[in-house]
Amino acid sequence: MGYKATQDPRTDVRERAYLPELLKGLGITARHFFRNLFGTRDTNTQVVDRKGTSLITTVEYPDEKIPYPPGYRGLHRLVPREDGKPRCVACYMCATICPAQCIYIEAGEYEVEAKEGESRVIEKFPTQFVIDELRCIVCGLCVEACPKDAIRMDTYEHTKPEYNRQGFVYDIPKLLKGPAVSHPSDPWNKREGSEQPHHVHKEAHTRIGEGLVQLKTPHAVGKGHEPKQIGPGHAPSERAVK
Amino acid sequence: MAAETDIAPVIATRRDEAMGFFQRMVSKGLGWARKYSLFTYPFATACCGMEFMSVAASRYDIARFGAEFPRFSPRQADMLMVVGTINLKQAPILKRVYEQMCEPKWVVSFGVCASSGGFYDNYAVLQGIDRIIPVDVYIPGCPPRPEQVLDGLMLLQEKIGRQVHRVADKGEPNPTAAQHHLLASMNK
Repeated sequence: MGYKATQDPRTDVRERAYLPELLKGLGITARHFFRNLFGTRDTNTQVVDRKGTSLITTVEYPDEKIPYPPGYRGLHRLVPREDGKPRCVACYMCATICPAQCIYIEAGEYEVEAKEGESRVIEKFPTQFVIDELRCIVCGLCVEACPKDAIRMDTYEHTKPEYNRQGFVYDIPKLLKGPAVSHPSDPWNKREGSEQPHHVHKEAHTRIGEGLVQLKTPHAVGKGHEPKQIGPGHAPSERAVK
Repeated sequence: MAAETDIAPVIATRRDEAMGFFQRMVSKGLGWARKYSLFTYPFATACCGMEFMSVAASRYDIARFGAEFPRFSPRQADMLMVVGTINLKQAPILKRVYEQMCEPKWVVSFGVCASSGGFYDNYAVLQGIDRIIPVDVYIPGCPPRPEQVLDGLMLLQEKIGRQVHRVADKGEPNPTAAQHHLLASMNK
């Protein structure tokens, strides 16, 4: 009664000889070993799209870098206007909403005589705009809060580590980068004269989704999103039904 | 700009820092060995611990840099990686752990909470571990991207390679610790 030795279901002689199964397992290990050693490695973020034979997907960081996903929030940048000054009007919306209170702004006023070009219809500008990147929690609320599209986190690069804390204090010269941006809704664009055609104001989120804003990632935002060219003449067709 | 002048390297002109040719070769060799075989103590307290795990996992392998084995005992570790928020209650514990480590030791503060308190600017959180221990590299981010962590690790490796390493150390702490103690004593 009790346990019988012949309860063993492996009645196959080959299995009970033990060594053939051992070698079979070693064969699986060796196959993976040579596959990883000599196969091609594909570091695609989408697992289903990987085509390499090697199962290793290590991204060897400083030598190879994978592009950050679209919408990645990295290092901030101040967006310049056509004349090179930051678009920021020192309204303090970003500084107010920042949960970490890492943005420090000091506002200055343009002198009436010195206003030329785009500055003639703007009253304030930041004399100091400092972000402490070591407090920043990269939430992106400052980008959402800004009414002037003056601050963005679309640099697609991360804040670099430093040896001491002073290196993380980013002021205007360190933050102001990128091509000049001008929106149809900007005050200096609207007040030219009545002869100017009425620009269709498109909200930023629609522009990005339709591929009208060139993202810096190498791959497209999504399939089928080709950048469309929309000129002012197409304006009535956009509001076709009305 | 304040940033550049503050990160200028401290010029060591003391006679103790002077080394002969063979001592210099030994120092470089020891520097090479120490920087490529860091034993990390991941002092993980909060969410940054998840990113530490992802750096240590196979996709952004920290083993490629030699820092593979975490040593959860301060006696066996040479790099203290403070990962996550440090409360005022946890601060004496952190200091005790740091003091239990043997020279040579380095500290990396991982994430904004450890580096500066992050967005927990309140009565319960230590506003940066450099208030109690000397920090060699600050890694920003909430949480830091694995690429950021690897950048910070490479910065630390460069720093270790540049330091003076002696075979018979007279017990002098590394320059970062010396500067930290100096500043701390000045603030009293």
